[in-house]
Amino acid sequence: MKTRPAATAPGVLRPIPERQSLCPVCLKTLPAELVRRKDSVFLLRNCPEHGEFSGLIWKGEPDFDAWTRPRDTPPRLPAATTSARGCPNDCGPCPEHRQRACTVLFEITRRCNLNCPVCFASSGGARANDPDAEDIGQRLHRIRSLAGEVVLQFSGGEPTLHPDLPELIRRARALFPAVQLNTNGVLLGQDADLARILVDSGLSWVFLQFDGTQDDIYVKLRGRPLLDVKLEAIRRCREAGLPVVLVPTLAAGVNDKDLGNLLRLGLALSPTVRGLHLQPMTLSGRNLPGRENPDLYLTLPETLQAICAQSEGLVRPEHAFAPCCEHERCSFHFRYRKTPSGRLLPLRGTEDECCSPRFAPDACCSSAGEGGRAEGGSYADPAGADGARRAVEAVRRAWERGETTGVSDAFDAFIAKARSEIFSITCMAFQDCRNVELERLRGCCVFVYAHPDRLIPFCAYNMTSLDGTPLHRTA
Amino acid sequence: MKNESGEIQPGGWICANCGVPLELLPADAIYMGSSFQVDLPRCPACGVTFIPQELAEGKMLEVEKLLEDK
Repeated sequence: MKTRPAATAPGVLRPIPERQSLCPVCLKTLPAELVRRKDSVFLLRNCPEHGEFSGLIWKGEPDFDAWTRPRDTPPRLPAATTSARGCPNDCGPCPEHRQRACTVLFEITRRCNLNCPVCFASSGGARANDPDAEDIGQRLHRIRSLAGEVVLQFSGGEPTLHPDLPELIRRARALFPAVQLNTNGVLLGQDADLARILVDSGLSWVFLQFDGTQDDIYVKLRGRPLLDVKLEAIRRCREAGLPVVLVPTLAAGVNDKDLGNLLRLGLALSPTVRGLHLQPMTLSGRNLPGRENPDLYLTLPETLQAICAQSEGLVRPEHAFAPCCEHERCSFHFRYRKTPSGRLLPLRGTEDECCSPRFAPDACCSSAGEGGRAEGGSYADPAGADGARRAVEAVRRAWERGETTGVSDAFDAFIAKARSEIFSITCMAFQDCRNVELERLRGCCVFVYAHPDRLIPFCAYNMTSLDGTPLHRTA
Repeated sequence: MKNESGEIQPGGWICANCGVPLELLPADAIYMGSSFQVDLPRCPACGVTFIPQELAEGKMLEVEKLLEDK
């Protein structure tokens, strides 16, 4: 395994004990330590059988320490399994898990109408028959029972291939506050009626795989040019009133320089496009040739800096928030109001206000008085006791369609207008065998439902070793 | 405090300072750089504005959440 420069030279700072990771070869749990070298932080571990490994987990600004926050102890999901082999083999969740759920993915098919070179789910081709509506309906009730009021994501494979999708959405909306569709958009672009049918079924919004504004990007990541069909999918969603979030898989050297173009396209297509959700590529499932080259992968701060640098001043690092739900090294988010002139006004005000995203030691909403603050301070928005619930509410405000009926006064009119002006930029830095920290897995709130009746943290579910052997996922 | 169409009504409130009944009058709602005009129960003499509890805990809170990303 190739790595970035090993953090063994002078300048290594403060090993932090009691961390755990996995051997990228055999996925065995190992003690690990975080070491810092200049502006980068590496995860080091030593497998007795396969040797030393160093995975880059942080590079650049925001500073690692400033981004780190104290962790409150949130309510946990009831354990569905017992601790037998230890994290991450007992999901889930097992008694070691330390977080509730805000999102549950349900893969309703393994079939796909693409066969992308990059696919963490290794989807595609002919598969066994999909579970039918009755079967899935029962499982939805089980998810509701296990996870509570989460955002339910229909995923796959390509979920629009499931013949009962409208019925599944109707059933899910009866149980969950919001239903999201994770799709490549091919059928949405090709089928004139699909977007309307999905809206009428109760779909809340679409997570549209949208890797860039140039077809050569799609050829590299998806195997064929797809820009036109994806733009057509957005057009049909606009006609149907179905919100869309653009979701690029980011590979350094492929589309990381296209982020500014993606932002400008997204803004031009708002309010149908509600925002960007950036997903740096992981070394899971199928991947590009040379997949072990560490230069293909972007860390969370590198992604943050890239979107800011390419935004022509619209997006600034000091507007960024660490998450209130998942581990702080898993995501960041920006939320803006888009003005008629095209400016982006950061929500939660300016730096002199108490709830500023910037580090504010005396911020009114700081948790310092309750649980203390990490030395050196942290970004605001501390992990609350119920971050999962807040996360569900926040994504609904950001991505749901504003109600256009029932406007009775100026407050209603303002709320409807303000909702249409919100534009969010979010990033989820998934973990893989190069960089997995079990601390982050145990704090995960994004689960995959695995039959029968298990909720597995997303990154654990999709974890594969360097040779592609899955930790949890079954063929 | 609402009529059948959902509009806020002044009800039987009387301004404690002026002793006159509140009336439904235009008021400017200003919050974090955004402003809009809305009819609220106000004193026609001194201009004091009454915010009903259901408004404070309902639509006003929703506006705050939208603008603050609470």
